[in-house]
Amino acid sequence: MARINFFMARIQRLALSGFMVAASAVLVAACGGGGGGTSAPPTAPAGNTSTINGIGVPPEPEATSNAATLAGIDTNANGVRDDVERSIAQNTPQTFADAMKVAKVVQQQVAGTTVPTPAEQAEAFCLAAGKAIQADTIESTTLDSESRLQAFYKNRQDINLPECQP
Amino acid sequence: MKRLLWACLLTLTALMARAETYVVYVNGASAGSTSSTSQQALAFKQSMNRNGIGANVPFRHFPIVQSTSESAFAIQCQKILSQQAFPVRGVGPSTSQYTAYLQALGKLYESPTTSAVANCTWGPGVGKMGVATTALADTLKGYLQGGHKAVVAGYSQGNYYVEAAIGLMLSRGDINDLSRLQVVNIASLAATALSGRYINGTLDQVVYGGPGSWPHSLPGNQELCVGACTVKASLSDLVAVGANASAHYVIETYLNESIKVFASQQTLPKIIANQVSFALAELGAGPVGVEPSITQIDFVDGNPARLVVSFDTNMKPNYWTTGNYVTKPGNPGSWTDLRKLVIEFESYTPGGSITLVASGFQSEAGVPMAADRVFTFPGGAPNPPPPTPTGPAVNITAMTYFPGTLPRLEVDFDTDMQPLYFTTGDYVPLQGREGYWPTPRKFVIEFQSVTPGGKITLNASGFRSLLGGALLEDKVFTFPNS
Repeated sequence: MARINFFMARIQRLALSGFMVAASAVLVAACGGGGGGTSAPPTAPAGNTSTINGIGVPPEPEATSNAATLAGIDTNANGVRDDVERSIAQNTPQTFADAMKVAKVVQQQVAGTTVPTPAEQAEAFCLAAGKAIQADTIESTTLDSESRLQAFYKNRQDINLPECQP
Repeated sequence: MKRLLWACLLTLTALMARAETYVVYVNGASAGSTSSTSQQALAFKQSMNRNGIGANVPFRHFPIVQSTSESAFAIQCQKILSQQAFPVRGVGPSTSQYTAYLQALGKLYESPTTSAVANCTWGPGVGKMGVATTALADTLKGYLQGGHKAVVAGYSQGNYYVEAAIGLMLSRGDINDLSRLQVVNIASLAATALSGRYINGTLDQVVYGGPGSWPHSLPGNQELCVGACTVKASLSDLVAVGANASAHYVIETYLNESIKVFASQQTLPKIIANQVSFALAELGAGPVGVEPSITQIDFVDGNPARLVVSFDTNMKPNYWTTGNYVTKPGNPGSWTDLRKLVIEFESYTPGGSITLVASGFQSEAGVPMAADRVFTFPGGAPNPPPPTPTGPAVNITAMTYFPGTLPRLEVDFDTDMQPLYFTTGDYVPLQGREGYWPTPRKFVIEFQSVTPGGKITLNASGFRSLLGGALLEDKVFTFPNS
């Protein structure tokens, strides 16, 4: 199921990025436009956005499905829940890459399938201690239920605070 | 190869078994603050390091992931419970009241969604607060089970979690007391100062500001000041040096190096570091800071002669010196401030020395100097001359020389003596054992070498009884020829 979701999401993202539209247009032009042999390009459900602040993101996941498991929905399998990824793109587009690193570590702690190494956790801590990440928002968005919070506390590595470079 | 692996395994095991004393920062509400909880934790560690907590002390962060409003709802029952237990702010509870409160609090968090507190309805965030409280209690329990100890430093609402977690640990039977855990409360909203150490600025508007404040939290105990600190600061004074308008945020206010505590004239972060340091000492964590150093020694050859010793950090106002001098009665040594010791002399031995004993000079964090420091008095005539004896004459009853690789001379007196001495002669004293009093009536000097047939003179003016008496004349001992 996750693989199908992932595949669909890719189609939606491609469609929304305009690639499919352009490709269809080229195809139509090449075929001379006769016969109406092409179908309309797939579109994302209403309310979904493929690009937020110039960043391509997965569609907003369906709330019930997203809340059904600790891991939630991660259609592009980049280690960050789709709703969290969208939130980061919305809140801190300038520091998107760093914020995603922090989010990935938090998500690993929640899901518990891959435990971040102390080094990864130290890097995430230092990034979170930076000023522009809005790490608290990442955490509160990711740890949005008692079960996720419980998993986070259970799986987190209790490390000595590192010396973070300015 | 096997040996190497085995050695590595043993080393790893030893490292893992090493007992640590952690300083654990428990943040306040997360979302809504200007700084992230990680930022707070890092700033706290860095500030403590700047203010005397050594880099050898491991700092940790227990993250509380709840917004201000979530926590405000969640802690409602805890707040009501504390109001019932401690109805009057500033009136400390008895031990039994305190214990009863913590036990009730612990029970509350054993099952937060079902326990009942009179006149209380749990807010929507209580489930998360229960999870966080239990996780904090489990984390601390894990430290103790691993042979470690911890100083838990809560900030703002974080103190509610600390209070609740300790209560839970007590009610679960994880601990019976705080002998292996200490708590330092910063800007605390909680009703209890679990280790008796807390820092609440009286101008903290979140805690004491108005109708929305916390009437049953710990009372304000720190009047603040800025600049020259001749008067207590107003809120606008604090804001002018970088505090936020509520004078509550941890980085902007409580870790602000420009804000001092009026009573002690020490910076607010320094006061917090002292509290953490004392808590670490309470847990037997050993020296937790850098060794203090003497930056300057000035000798003023006046009347009285004075020695001024300056240090690079604030010191405990104690001292320990030995040597060839008589201190001025009534003012043997005083700290003009915590970085400067002044010793006044009634007399001293020209060319003699005064030793500042390392263990007698400790930083505020309790770290002694790395080594003794010896200062040699200038030569010339004694200034001022030795005082006139005021008590009965002192007699030497025996002088016994013990030859050997490190020879020594023992001198017995007929009365209790002051721990002073003044000797000259044909010998090289053994460093660190050049003259000492194992009992009030026995003086011992050990030698690195002596001149066969040479002499040692015990100068009459350098030996005084507790009653003020002196030797009637110098006493000379001749070393054997072989």
